[in-house]
Amino acid sequence: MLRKLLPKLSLGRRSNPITEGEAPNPQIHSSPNLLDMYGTDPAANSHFISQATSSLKLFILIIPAVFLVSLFINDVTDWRIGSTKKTIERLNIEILDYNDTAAEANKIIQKIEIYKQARADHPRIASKMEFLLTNVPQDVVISEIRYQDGNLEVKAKTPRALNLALLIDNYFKDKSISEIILKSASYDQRDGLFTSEVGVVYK
Amino acid sequence: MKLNTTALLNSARFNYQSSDPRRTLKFFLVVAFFDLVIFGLFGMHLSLASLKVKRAELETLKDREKVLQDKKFQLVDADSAMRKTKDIIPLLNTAIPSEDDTHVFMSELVEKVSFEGYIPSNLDFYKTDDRKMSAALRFEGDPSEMYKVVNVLENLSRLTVVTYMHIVTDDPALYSRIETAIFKVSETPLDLSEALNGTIDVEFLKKEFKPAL
Repeated sequence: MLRKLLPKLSLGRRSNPITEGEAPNPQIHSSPNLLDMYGTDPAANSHFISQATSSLKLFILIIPAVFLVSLFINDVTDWRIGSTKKTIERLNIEILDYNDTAAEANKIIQKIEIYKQARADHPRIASKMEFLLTNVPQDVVISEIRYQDGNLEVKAKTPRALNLALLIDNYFKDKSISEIILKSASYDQRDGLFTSEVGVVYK
Repeated sequence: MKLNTTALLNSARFNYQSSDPRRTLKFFLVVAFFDLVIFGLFGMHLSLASLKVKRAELETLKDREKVLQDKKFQLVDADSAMRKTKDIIPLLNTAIPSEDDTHVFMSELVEKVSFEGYIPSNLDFYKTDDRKMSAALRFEGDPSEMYKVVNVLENLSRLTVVTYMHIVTDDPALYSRIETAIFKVSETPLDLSEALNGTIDVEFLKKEFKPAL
């Protein structure tokens, strides 16, 4: 292992070539200090110094070069900052020309949003009401109509119970109605009238 | 391609020769040390620190430039949209004015419901918030055709929505009640550094207001 490693060290090794076939003489390196077998080889030392000097020269040139590059990047960044500032100034001036437009546009945008929201939260009910109040069978009187939280409710009175079924059947002719909920049905003996409350759910 | 650094350095006349190679090495070691201190630790350190600050500033400026650029494009689009809808915008301003203008609302309402055969018996206004006012209304007239009043309310030039309604045909004077909401948008100072809140929906305006023209 040590034999393989030693030739790679540039410090060199004291020359003591062992010719092929010649048996190594254990008397030569009899000292217990292993470092005794190493010494300075002037040729190898000179080569090392030459390489180190070249590397140092390269290092000495590279450091200022990198510094100059960083200075150059600094200058480019300065130039870009200046250019961006000019663009911002130009844009500010251009936007100032639109000052009135911006204020008006913002107001219109807000109004459109409110308009859309109001219409979405509270759809028109006049035509629905008209349908519920006019499409009633004979002998049926709509005594109350209520609109709350987007739902319409109708209270109908009639002397014949069958008319209530007809009323619901009539309401289903409106295709926009998805559901009719019979909330209550009662009979008043004094008046002889059937009263029913129905909730109408639209699609 | 192998670069012969020694030849390169020699050609750049960056050569120091001494009789003793160790002295040469020592000389270059000293030069390298000062080189490292002056350019590396001092010069480059300051230069990179400055570069870092400048890059941060540049980034901030670029963001600002982008905001302004977007705002400019938005304003150009808004200007174009406003030109396209110049005949509709007055209708929108009437539907949602900048002031309360309840008197305008009331006079139009009274005029139109009277035409349908109804008389307003009670009008109560109260502010719900900065943009919304509610009105509780009672009308005298045929309760079985109260949908005509609702139709008038929903087709006023002022945007009016019915929020609650209770019509009792037995005793309309006492119990029939319609609650509506009307809207306004107050004048607010515009911050030019901020972008617009959205875009003008030209299609919506044309669809909603064109039939009224």
